[in-house]
Amino acid sequence: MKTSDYQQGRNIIAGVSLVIASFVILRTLFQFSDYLIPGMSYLYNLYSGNIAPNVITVILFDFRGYDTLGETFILITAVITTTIVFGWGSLKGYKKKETPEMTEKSTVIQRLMAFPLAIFLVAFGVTIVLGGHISPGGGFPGGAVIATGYFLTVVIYGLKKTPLRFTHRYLVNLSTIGALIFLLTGVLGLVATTYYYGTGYYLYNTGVDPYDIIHVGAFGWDNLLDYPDPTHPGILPYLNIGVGLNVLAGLSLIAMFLMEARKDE
Amino acid sequence: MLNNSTLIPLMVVLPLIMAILVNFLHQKDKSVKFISIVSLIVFVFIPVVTLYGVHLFSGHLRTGSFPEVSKILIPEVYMGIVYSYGAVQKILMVVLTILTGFSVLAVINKKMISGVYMAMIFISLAASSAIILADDIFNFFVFTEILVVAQAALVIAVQEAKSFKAAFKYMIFGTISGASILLGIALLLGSYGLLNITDLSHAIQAGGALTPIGLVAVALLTLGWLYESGLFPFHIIKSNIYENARPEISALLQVQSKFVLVAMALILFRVFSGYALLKSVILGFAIFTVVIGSVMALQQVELRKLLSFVAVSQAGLVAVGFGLGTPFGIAAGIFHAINDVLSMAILFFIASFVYDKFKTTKLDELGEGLQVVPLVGFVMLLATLAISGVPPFNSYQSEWRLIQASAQAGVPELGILVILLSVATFVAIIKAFYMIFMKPGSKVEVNKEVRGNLTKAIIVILILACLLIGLFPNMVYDPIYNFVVSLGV
Repeated sequence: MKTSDYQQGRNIIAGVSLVIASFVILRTLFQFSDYLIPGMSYLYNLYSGNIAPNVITVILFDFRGYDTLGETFILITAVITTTIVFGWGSLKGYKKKETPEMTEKSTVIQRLMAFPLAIFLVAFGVTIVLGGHISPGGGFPGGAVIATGYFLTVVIYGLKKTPLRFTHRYLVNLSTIGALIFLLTGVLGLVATTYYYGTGYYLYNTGVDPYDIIHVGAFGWDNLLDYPDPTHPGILPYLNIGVGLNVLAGLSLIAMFLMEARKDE
Repeated sequence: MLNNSTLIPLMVVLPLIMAILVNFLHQKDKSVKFISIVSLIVFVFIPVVTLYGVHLFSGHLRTGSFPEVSKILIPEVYMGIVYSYGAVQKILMVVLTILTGFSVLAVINKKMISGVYMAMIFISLAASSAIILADDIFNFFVFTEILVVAQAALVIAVQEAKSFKAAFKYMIFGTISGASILLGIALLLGSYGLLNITDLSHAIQAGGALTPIGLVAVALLTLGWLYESGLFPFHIIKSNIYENARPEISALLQVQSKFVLVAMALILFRVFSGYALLKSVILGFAIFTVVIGSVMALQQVELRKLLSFVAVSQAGLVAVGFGLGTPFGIAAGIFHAINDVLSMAILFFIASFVYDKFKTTKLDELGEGLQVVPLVGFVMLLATLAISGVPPFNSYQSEWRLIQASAQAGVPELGILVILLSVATFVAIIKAFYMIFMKPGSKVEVNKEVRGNLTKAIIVILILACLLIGLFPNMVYDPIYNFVVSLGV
């Protein structure tokens, strides 16, 4: 028997098992809504009103804030992995390549529109990041919108002539600051609760103090990291800003490496 | 209810902070070196001083008596994410941090200092710690994803065509397994409304027999488990990863995979403790892994490949313990995981030394090594004995317990399988030992500059640890057994 004969049989087996697996999964999902139990979702809806108006942000950054930290780190890990693929930080060392000149010039309309549109996108992204606790949005979508603005200018004007000229170092710094804001806000919660309550809780919302355990207000100043707007959502906007910086820097970094590698092959 | 323990999250968060810092300081080699060494000491120190208990993230407490109990299945639930830390977690964390420390020291010693590479090691450490500690099934999933990407990055950093290929395959299959784990979690969340593993197992037990939706969730989670731990259908992918990373990093990767195997199998058993078929399925895949892994190991003529397949087949042996399903079997499986990572790490460190000293790991080119490095040869002989379960070393204790457990569970035939695996492992590795250290006529040049004092120190420390556990097994085994009994699986 040749290898190709085996391969045919293998393909048939794989195909049949794929069909069976898909059928089972789709059958499970069919009318799944009849069996749904709200559980945690019900409880989160019940309690999140105390913290900030946007329930989704409260679930994302407060009840399951630590999961969001993990998700941010999936992005960071993926970005660093992408840079390693291009040789940055690998064991063989990184060779800086000449930034390629744009060979195909973009059209006049593109060049005319891209910069204003990029400014608009960056401004819009900042709004989304800062309004995460009261309106739909937050760090992830906001950061992605800002990075889109950067993509646009890089694609239209090229890496050398783009008006939003970020250096590699700058983006790494930005991403570091974003990640550290998230991580250290959590550590602050841990330290503050340990100091005032005896036992520490990582990522405790010191600004809202939902369980009334740190009583910083009693000493004549407001709660730690209170966000000064009428809704007083505590640490949520700061976490949003951290995630936003991180996402913006990470995605822009990938765009930069892709643009640099464009003319290689 | 357990008390809140403050230091638990630091086991995950500090490696993440350090990873961010060393990535930031990339190309400033002195700072990277300094920070790495200091943080390693801290990482080993934290699991030792942390008190047993749970950690309630964001301070959301376990609350009882809700206004509408009909909307959730059990009266008391954890509101936020919870980590739990007990004796088994402590042992696993200490072994994991120490072996990570050895790997990082070996990397620094070889002047391969790169902040980015170090960041990936720290992130993979943080992710595997989180997987060991997590008592929340979604948080567990998030960190398995991080672990897969970070492990792939460590392989990619070698920058050879083969390593790119291995990492690419690993990530492709990672998407499949990640999707299946996530879908399984979604089905559980939908039909029970809970994510906390303790609560989920209570709710499932209270609900009686598993629903069809629950069965699909078991199947999907088991598929994910097979991938994460490199068992039977995915054994080639996992061994490819071990083979193409730098050997001192493979020593770390195999520790992470085996501990993820243990952590995730414990989760499966806790959540679906009432479901008997799960044990048989796990046992089936475990036996396949053991047989195929050891047969593949016997055929190899390249040291790193050979060790990769031995590592995979030993993971199968750990899974055999879980497949037996009795507390005795599970405890023996966990104990074997700890013993095996120690002796496997020695062999990978030796492979790293051989690779540096002789510039190759192809067995037919090597030879007469005992005259060049007698100490390494002697330790490799001892490690071979250790991994194939020869007394007085540690694996003897765990394999003996596995054989006893299989006899107790009514399948004494499995005992024969364990013995056969020991023999196969011994034959495979002793062949490598002979060909590297004793075979006359070597075709390689000896690199005189490589002294490898650090590697020698590491392997001597590890073989002493193996001997210590072998002589006093109850020091490690008793806490594990008590923990498994307390889980009530």
